[in-house]
This record gives sequence, C-alpha cells and structure tokens, in this order.
Amino acid sequence: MSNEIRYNLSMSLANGNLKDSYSTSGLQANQNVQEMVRNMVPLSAMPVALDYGNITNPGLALFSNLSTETDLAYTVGVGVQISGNFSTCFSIPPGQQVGPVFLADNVPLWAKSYPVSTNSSTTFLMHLDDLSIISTYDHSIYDDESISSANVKFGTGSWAGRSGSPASIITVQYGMDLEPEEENFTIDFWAFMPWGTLSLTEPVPCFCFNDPSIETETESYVPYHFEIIIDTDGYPMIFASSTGKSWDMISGTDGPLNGKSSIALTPDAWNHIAIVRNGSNWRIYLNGEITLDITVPGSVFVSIKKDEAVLRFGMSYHFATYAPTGFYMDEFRFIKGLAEWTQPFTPPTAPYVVDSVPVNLFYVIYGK
Amino acid sequence: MANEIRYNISISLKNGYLSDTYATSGLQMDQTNQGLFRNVVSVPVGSIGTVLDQGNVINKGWTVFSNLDTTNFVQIGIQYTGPGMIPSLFYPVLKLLAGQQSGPVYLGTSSKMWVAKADTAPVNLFYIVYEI
Repeated sequence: MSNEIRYNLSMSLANGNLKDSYSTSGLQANQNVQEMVRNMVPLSAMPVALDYGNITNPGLALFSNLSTETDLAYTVGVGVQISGNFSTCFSIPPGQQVGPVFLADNVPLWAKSYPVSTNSSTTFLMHLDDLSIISTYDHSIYDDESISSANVKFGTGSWAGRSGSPASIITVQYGMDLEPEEENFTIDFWAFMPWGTLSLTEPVPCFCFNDPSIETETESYVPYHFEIIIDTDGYPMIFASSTGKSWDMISGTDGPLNGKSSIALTPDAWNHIAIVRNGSNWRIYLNGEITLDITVPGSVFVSIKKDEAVLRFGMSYHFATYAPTGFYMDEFRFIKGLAEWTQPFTPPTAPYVVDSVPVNLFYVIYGK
Repeated sequence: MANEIRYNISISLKNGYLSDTYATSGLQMDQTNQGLFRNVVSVPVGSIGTVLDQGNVINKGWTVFSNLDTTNFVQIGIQYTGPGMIPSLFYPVLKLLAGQQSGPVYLGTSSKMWVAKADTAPVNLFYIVYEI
C-alpha cells in the first residue's frame, strides 16, 4: 500500500503591497493500518485529552473551532501536558481551522477553551481543592504538598501553611496575568489564623509576586516586588515596589507609606481579604469592610520577562519567611484589569465560577 | 483591513474500502500589521530543539512547515524550561517524514518558542510565518 492519504496546503497573504502565496497540491502519505477518527468534543477551561479512538499511531490531523463568536475568549488551545500542567502549542481562533498537520508519535494532545472575559481583564483562579488553575494563560506549577483537607472554606481543600522543611509553598510560573503593573486589579482570598494555638514571632506571608528571570551578581531574584503579608498581630499589609529596590510605593507598616489594615483578622475563623486597586486608590477590604484606603500612583515593578512572572503562596521574598503550620488560605483569585469592589460588600458565600465557554472542537485524525 | 490571510484545507483518505474526505476553502483571517518570514534552517540532531527564528515577526500567526529532506524526519514542537536549573525539555508536536508538510498552524497565543529537532541526520526545514 502507498499514498492512501492525500492532502493539499494553501496559504496566501495580501496586505496592501505585501503579498505572499504558498500552495502545494497532490501531497501524499502512506497509511499502513486502516485507522481514522472524526470527533467533536465540547471544551471548557479545564483541559481534556483528545480521544484518538482506536488509532494507535496518529498521523495526519486537522482541527476546527466550531465557535462562531468573535471574542478571543472563544479561542481553543491545543497542547500537551507537561508535569501535569497544560501547555498550549497552537491555537484555533473562532471559526478557524488548523491543518493538515502530521502529529508526533506518542504525544497525546489536550485541548481547552479560554475563560470568558467580557472586558480586557484576565482572571486567575485557584479553588485550592487541588492544583488546578483557571486562567487565560498557561502556567507551570510546583508544589510541596500544600493542599490539605483539614480546614477548608469552600470545596474539598485549601492551602495549608507549613514553615518546616520543606516549607509549604506553591509556585506558579509564567503568564502575563501575574504582573500587577499599573492596572486596576482585584486580589481576594480567604485566610484562617489560629491565634488560639499559635504564637507568632514573625509576619505571615500570604503571597509574593516576583520574577526569577532577573539576576544580579548577588541575587537570583528581585526581593522588592509585590507581597501580601499578615503581621504578628493579625493585620493584613500590602508591600509594593516600583523599582525592585525598595518598598517605595507601599510599605505595610504605619507611616507615610502605610499599607496596613486598620482591623486585624478574626482569630480562629475564616476571613475574606480583598486587595483592590482602582486607579491610584488602593484598598484593603477585610470581610467586606474597608480597612485601608490610600492613594498611591505608579506602576508595580515590571519584570523584563513578564511572561515568566511568579506567584508564590506562603512565602515572602523580602522577609524570607514562610507561613506557619495552622495557617490556611482558600479560593484565591487575581483579576488583572478590574477593580471589582469600590464599596463595602458582602463576602462571597460560595466558590467562584468562571464561566467556561462551550466551544466545540471538531477534529479528524488519520492513522499512519 | 480584513481577511488579508486566506487558506484552504484539504485531506482525503482511501485505504481499501476505508475512505474519507475533508475539504474547506475560502478560510480567512485578518493581519493587523504587515509582516511575514520565510526561512530555511538546517535543523541539527540533538537532545534539545533548535529555536526557529521568526525574523521580525512579533505576533506569530499562521505557519506552514515543510521538511525538505529526502530521507530523514524532523520533529517540531515546544521547549520547556522549568524554574531554577531544570534542564530544557523538548516536546514534539509535529513529526514530518521526508518531504512531508504541515499547516497552516496558528501559533497565536502560545508565547512559547517553537523549536525543531532532527533525529538521525541534520535536515533542512522550510517554514513560513505570517504576522497576525
């Protein structure tokens, strides 16, 4: 048998005086075993493995995004799983198709659609029931057994502190949605502080945003970036830098750069903490009440390689501390580009739902 | 501007009594900024891939690949480097046997660099990238 598969390629460009054309026809390939699959799969923000049917050796394939919408949010990403993290290899805009392409051997492909975005904001959400991330962007994630079911606000799990060795840290890397910059944003999460059994000697880090790609002769990271910390008395604090060299924007202590909440967390209870930037206005909302209201212009330090930004749960770069055992966080969300709250509010009573777009992906695969 | 990029897709299979055909024509896509890159690169054999230069193209759009070698295959995919000192790992997505072509592929929102890797001997890979 030979040349059972035939295919053509045709692509052209005409943009003003820039013109280009590439076309080949009558291309052929062999298929040794009678195998093929046609399938349509509904996609959501959670990646799913593409079913190859009975195909043992995938060969030629094409993919079609059946969405007729024009929003980027309806784009389909096709990619691979790397250490449990979905990594987009190529995209399929609404109504577009990709192929024919010859697939690599023994590399299962996965696909997802991107979350709905009704404005220019991006949403990064972790329920912390597991290590799943709901985001427009791909991320890599590293964990030191941080998810626990011992004390949860929503769902089946939460992030549990542990300052021993290894410390309980979740590291999320990559993604343009992890740089606060100078845009409006909303960060909110739940925190549980067990003062009844815990005597704190140093601040409790919730999150730090940073970028390890910038290296100096003495440092492999920039210690001044953006951090959210709870002090030893239970007061949430913001630290922000525009230079990467000092806390020149907001320093989480009393004083001219005050970034400290006026109210402490309720001990031995779940507290909702929201950090909201609206223009130059920065606020902390503790359980829906405004507990910090300051005006600070400027841009949070922007790394050279924005897409390598890092978010770490339970660690402070600057203070070199880790969150202690007994401290829990749940339902973390970071919206970049939107100040969700500008007035006191009632904290959420349920985990967030980021709408998954019901995109259907159609694909054809011929076996080799 | 609209519909500056046009492409067609056509594949068919006939293997004994098993036959299948899929063809669509007149597919269109916008190109906001003028830009394209055509290149032939000699892809070496190695444990990791060779980054495919995209010239002055900033926002990678539609791409076609053609293996110009008459004997050997080439794999195309993404390369992944974890935080710290984790070595780069090559993840093939496409595998082009001698003379085979693939595309158009929309690289789009993937921020990762595409790389290619030969297996038994260096191969020449021709590719075109359109700006979006």
